Amino acid sequence: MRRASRSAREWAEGLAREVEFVEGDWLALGWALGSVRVLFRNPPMPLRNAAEVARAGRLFAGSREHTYPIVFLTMALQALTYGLRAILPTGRIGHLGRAGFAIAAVSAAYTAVVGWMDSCMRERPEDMDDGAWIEFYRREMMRLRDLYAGKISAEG
Amino acid sequence: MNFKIRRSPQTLLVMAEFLQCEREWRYGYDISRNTGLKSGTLYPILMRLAEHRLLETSWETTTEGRPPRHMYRLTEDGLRYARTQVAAEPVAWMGEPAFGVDGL
Repeated sequence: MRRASRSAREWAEGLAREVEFVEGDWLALGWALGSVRVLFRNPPMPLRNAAEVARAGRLFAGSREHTYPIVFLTMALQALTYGLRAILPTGRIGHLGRAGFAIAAVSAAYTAVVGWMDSCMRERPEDMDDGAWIEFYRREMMRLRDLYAGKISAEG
Repeated sequence: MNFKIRRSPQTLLVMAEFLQCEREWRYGYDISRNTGLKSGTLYPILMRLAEHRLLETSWETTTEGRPPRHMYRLTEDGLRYARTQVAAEPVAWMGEPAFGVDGL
């Protein structure tokens, strides 16, 4: 329960209290296991006014700053691991499989670098300017919508 | 009323359960027993309803030193929404009740 996201904490507490009323140890265990899924649920941030939209924009920009380097490091490590293992003595299928994984990881790492450079090049608004942050967030959401709809490429 | 809630059979089942006794506070475990939904399915539905202000929550006040329980009931908006949704779609029984309760 201590690990529950802030928004889910009240619910997590409610779930934990209910365990005491579940009849039977196994059923209580089932209840507790089902609860894990609830603890880490992060509902979408409410956007009730301009200040909350601006805050969401700031958080969005901040999250992207960290996501790309983490993805890059993970993928680079994976590429290194599979690349090295592909060299080690094994059957032909093993070599091919590991080489395939290494190539996929290199490709994902490259995409992360492109995304990171792309997000760095985008101009971030001045921190105090809520209006600019709202516009930035709107633009980014529209760009992501178009990206997922296949209308633009990751670099575009 | 235009709420963006996925109208799954499970959500309908939960709303139908609340409509059984409209203004009463309900416990999560009781809803789970009556609907046959497990905690991992039920609570995300309750949370989603609460996010849309269709459900209100409260902590039970206890006097005997027992820890309070979390309680739920539909708001006025929630009741209206539930009535229209449940009326529009027949609620199917989900199967065996969760947690092995017979006779429900």
